[in-house]
Amino acid sequence: MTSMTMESGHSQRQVLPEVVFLENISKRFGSTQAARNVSLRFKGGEVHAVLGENGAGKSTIGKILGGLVQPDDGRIVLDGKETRLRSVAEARGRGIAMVFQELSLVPDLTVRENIYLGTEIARHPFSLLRRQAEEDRCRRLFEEYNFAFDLNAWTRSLSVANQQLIEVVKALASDPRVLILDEPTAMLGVHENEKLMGIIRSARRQGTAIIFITHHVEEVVEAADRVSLMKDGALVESFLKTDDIDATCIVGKLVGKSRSKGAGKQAPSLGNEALAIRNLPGPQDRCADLTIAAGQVVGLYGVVGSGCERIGQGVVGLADLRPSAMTLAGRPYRPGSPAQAARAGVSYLPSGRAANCVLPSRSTRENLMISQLDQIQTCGIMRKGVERQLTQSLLARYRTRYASYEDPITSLSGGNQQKVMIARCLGRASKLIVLEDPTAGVDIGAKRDIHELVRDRAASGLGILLVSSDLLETIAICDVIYTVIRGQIVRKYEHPTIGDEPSIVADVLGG
Amino acid sequence: MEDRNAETARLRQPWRRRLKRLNFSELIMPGFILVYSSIIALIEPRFLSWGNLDNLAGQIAPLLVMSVGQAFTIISGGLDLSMAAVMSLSGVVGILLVPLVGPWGAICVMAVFGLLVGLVTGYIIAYQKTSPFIVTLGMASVATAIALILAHGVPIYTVPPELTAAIGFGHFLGLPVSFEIAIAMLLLGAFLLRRTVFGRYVYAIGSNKSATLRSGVNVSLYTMLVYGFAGFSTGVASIVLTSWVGAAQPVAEPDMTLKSIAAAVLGGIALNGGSGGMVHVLYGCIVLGALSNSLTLVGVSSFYQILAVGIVIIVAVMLDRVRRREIF
Repeated sequence: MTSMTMESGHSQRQVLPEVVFLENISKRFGSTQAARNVSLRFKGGEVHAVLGENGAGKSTIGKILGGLVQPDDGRIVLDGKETRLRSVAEARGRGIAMVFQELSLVPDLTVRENIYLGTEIARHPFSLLRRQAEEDRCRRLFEEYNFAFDLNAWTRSLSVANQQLIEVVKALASDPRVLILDEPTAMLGVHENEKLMGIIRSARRQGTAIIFITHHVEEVVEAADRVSLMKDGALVESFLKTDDIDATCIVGKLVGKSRSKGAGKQAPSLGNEALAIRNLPGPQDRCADLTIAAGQVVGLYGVVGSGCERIGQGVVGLADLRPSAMTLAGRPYRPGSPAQAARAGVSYLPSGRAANCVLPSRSTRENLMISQLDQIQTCGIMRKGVERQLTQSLLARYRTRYASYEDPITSLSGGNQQKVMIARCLGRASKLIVLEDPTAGVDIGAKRDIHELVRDRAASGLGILLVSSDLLETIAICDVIYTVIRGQIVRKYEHPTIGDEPSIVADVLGG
Repeated sequence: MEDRNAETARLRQPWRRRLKRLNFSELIMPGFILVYSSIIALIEPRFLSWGNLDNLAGQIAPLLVMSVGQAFTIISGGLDLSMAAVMSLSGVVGILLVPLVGPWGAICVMAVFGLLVGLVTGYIIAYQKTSPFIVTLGMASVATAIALILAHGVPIYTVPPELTAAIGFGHFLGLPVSFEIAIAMLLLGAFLLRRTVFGRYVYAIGSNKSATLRSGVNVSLYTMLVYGFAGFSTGVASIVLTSWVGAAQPVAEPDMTLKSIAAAVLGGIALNGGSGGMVHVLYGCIVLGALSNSLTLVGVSSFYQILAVGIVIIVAVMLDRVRRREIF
């Protein structure tokens, strides 16, 4: 990783011009205070890393600056003048470009068309596209950033990692003065990561202010000139990254005093084997086994695209894990669908709440009961009284706050919706639970609750498989962690602690 | 906690719950029906005469029966474009089999035949992972062709007089039997939707299919059952229509498919699925039926009637948009 370290600019650092000043920015989403009196200065030619756990408010800061979200309070000062950024277009007009966490390229257009989408050289609805001019400018752009790609390749034919890079180049095509990167490395492999660092270096040399939002400490160490740490929506500390600051030091500042003790791991009293997956691809073409005992929380950790989601999905019948074989409580187990998995006593909380969990047009009660119906029906006819009782008891047990469970679930806050989903999933299982990102996008209080509920459920004798993209969470609640890269199990960590973080990170990045 | 118990105690009373859920958009359709009927009654008092209402009830019965099934497909997030064609085919098949099974056997044949065709369509949609739009469009062609082949391209007039007398024009307790069949279908639909696991899953699939699949529901099976039920209602519609017309036509009322979709959406069922109920089907059918009935009474030419129906449907879809503006 040291090979990729940025050439240190601190020694010849001249006074850099301040481009943006955020003053006392606050933003609330429903019951979540996403940003609380945050003041930050961003300078031209400086890579400014904003680091924090999921839900720390760092993306909110990026979105406010990118014009996607309006702050409730505070000022944005651009070049010494107070400004309001009411839309992404307005922000872009002021020279602020943002690369979003989610891919936003059109797969059916070519690379060149995507780079100029919305900023075509000819702008009237029926004017002809100036292909040649666009191509020339693209070439120059690519040269500038030392980046090689077939301009006329279909975007869909590129890997996700390369699409992500093109997204960055697209943002740079408008010569922005401020470039916001929100978790840009989530989908990148080592090779693409190096390319991204190269692009960032070039942009920095040209005097662009770069805001690098991430929760990967090692990237900060590698790329940043200045580091700001955020937690629970507030700024913890902002400091220059001098050479003596390393990953452990930053992690210490960020998490040292803040370990949530709520989800403390009990001394594991292990029961029988709940799930075993044999012959998973392991290191150096050997095979690895994964076992989960009843009462145990086992985590799979890898970067997005590492294939650990696929293992989780295989356990619930959404992916085919062959040639690996599974046994559930000692019996052979090969589910073909989540319905079959559910019948075998395995329940599933998918990631992506809006896309894969919530039934938006239905009530909280129906959302919760959708996977408990076998308990409340006779011959296919529902028993309403039993249903209401079960709804109430589950909502109470999973500490959900609601006005009426007959209201649409969308009237609940994100954290409470997630608790309903947790209740839906945990309330049903009899042998094993597969959780994907159980606390994505929830506030810190709900997160702590969810961690406790998961531990409690494990203590009641179930096996739990956690697939989370949040390493700190994985370390906090798992008894065992398996690291995954390119679909292969790298290593197994028993009773992981925060001290294992550097080693885990090295595993999943292939370092 | 105290509050919550009080709240649930109140919610337990069905009428209170119903009342609480009533909001303005739920009152648009019944309000519109009342206002429209009053205006027409002022122009043409015969509109509200018992004779005309009886006639109106008979007129909307086939559409009502079909719309019950269509509503299920729409609530589940799909649609069925083959309904009118399958209705014609099951009518033809049923009447052709009268010599074998008798008049009452024939109506069973029609219902069961509709159900079977629906299950086949549903199987192709659910298990072959195909789009309902294309599959049912193809099925419409297939069914029409088979009906034309079986009937040699002409209507079959050998409908047993018992059926015409009992179902087509019969009355029971003062109401047309065909209308009573339609109401029975509505009640059956409402029961399935509100009280059974099947109904719950229909809403869930329409609301978010991916989430329903991942929460352990056998989405394919229930999707197939939805089209099976739609097919069943098509079969029942063919009983009502055949008895009323007195003939099994190989191409009977081809625009009824689109009318059933229009009725559902007009009544307030979300076109992208996940919400709505049988009461909305009733509203939609009454509006469409009352519209053409009243315009005929007032003496508007049938060309203008078609125009009026078209405009009402377009306005209804725009209303659907407004109702859901919070979603975009």
